[in-house]
Amino acid sequence: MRQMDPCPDEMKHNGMKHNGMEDIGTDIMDRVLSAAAAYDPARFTPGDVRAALDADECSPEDFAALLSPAAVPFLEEIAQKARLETKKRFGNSVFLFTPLYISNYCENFCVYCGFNHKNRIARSRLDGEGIEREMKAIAESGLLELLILTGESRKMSDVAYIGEACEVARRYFKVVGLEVYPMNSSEYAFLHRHGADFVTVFQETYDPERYKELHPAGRKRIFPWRFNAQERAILGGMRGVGFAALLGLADFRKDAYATGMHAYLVQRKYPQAEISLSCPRLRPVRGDSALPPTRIGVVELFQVICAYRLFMPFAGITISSRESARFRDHVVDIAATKISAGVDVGIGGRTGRASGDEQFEIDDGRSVSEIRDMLLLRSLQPVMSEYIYV
Amino acid sequence: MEEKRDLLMLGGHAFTSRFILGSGKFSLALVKAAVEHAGAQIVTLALRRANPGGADNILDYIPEGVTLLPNTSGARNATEAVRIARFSRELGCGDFVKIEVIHDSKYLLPDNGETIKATETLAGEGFIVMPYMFPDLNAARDLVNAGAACVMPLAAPIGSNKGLCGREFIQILIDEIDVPIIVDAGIGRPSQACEAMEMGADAIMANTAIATAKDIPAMAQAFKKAVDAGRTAWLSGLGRVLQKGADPSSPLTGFLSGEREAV
Amino acid sequence: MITVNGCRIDLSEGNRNLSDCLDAQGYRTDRVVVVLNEVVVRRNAYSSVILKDGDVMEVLHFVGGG
Repeated sequence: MRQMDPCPDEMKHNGMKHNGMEDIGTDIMDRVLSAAAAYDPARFTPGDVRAALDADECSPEDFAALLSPAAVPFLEEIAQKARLETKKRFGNSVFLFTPLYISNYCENFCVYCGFNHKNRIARSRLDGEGIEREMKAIAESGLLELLILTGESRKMSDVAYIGEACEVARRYFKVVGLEVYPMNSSEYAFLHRHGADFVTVFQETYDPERYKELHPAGRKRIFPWRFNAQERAILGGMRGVGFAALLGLADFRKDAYATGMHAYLVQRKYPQAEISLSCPRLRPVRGDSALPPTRIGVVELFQVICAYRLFMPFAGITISSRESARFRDHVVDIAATKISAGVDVGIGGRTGRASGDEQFEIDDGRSVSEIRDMLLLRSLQPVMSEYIYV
Repeated sequence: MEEKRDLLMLGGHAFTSRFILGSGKFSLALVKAAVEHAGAQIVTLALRRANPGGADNILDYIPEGVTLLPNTSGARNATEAVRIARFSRELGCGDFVKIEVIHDSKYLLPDNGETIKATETLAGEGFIVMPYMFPDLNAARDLVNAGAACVMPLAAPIGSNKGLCGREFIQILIDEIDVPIIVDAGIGRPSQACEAMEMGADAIMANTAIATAKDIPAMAQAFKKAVDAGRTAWLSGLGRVLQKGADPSSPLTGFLSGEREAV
Repeated sequence: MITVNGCRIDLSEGNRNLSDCLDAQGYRTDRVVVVLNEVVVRRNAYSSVILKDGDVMEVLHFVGGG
């Protein structure tokens, strides 16, 4: 029998050559994919979970055990330990930020996403004036950290355009992060010079076959180009990088394991980089066709977040507004360190000039002051920024 | 099921012994017995001016098949270490070298900066470089990037037999560095060698602890047993330590039961 | 006159050849490395090297060390 190639053509680096895509010659993707392929969540026993909880240093093997079904009955103990680790590193600080979508034009065809090129949604892109107007409104809420997002269109939101948005953002905010399409290290360097210092790229799923099904066309189809974005961002001078799988697209345990391993190996290779993890779950979107989500319940989501914390005690963990207020309130007191507030995932909505539709439905729509009050009520310290740009 | 052999890999060479024996401060007559009792497959040597008159040479006392690891003792900077390493290789005993750069005659602490420079040069010339260093994470990373085959942090000042003074910092190297960590210098007792191996060190090197024992071959054997025991303990996964005062506070997961499902 | 490991030695017809010089002093050529004026001399070249006045030579071998 012919052995299945775990890495189809689109998954290999040679797919990048003809698209001006930089190949930095890294082996991290191969290492993560082979580790994920070898990960069998069903193999772990309660004894493995016990050993993982007792270990001083959480190894990749311990992490795998903590993500397994065998760990679910230990969730209370896992949560206690996660909370202890979070408090050790971060005290009671919780960081606040908000996303700003400046364009929702997209050239990708991700079957699970509201911005899918095929979807007939209202498309829009803020001009310089619109960007300034929205940022000013956000800054007035007291926030000092902004995450700039675009749909993935190099045509409608080119690097220069994103750079201009960064320039405006640096006047209003102390921390500027980006969640945009993957680019070359020289382009990341350009955006860093214009004020951005953090880059988040969601790999969506680390299962190459599933990735191919979910991304039937467009630049995003080229898996390694996306996979190595964090490394290119670091090479471009960014201070920190964020990782995530969109949990629910494939086997969430395997995807969570691969996400952790990806972040772990990048941290070991670039110890200077700040590492953060996000834990988005698949949400209903416009144009959501017959895509049956691989379900992940709140209990499992909570397990993933706690496992991330124990595996990478130093990493920032962001909790999405896709989740309920109640869930978020508890998770920031246990494992997460960053929470979005006053969220709008459409275009122009903060100044009453909504012109583009949303990427997904949010659940927690609380304002910055509501989130701040919640944190204070729980004896947590809302922190707007503790950052230096150099 | 086939059992995997537990090998120490250095520069593409495989070793089953995880105890490296230093041969200093010995009488030549005891070297062979010490090597054999220690089960050592690697023995360190130093390069010095030869004596005229065809006197006994240490190579005559080292059993066949043992890998020789010349050190660069006497070097005060990277340039001198590189010269000593090159001279040593001319003796035809292989490509291994232990870099040791010391320009402090009171504490004999290694100079990490010069050691990194020497590592880069010698690794580029095809040496299998084993740098002796002060346990500093940044320096260890630089050594790995410079091409080191392993990192050899000291446990305590050389020859002091004081044991694992740098425990916490060696643990950090074990946790963070992807090449073998060989704890070298300062290990004074078999129990300390065992402890370092339990922590996850890949091998131990000792010299003075054995050379200054009353019965040298017997102490060599005690070290072998301690290193083996520590290794086995590490591979078995140490049992847990109960934290004093661990106190199950109010449940953190209660909120999950009331959580409505969004999807 | 040459210097070998710090000692002055007179050159004569009997030791002008490097190989002869090492033999005369009883060095075991299979156990030493020779550095002549800062340059290593390979073993197979010993017999073809002629020493000259003022040469500085180091003859090194392994000893016990940690």
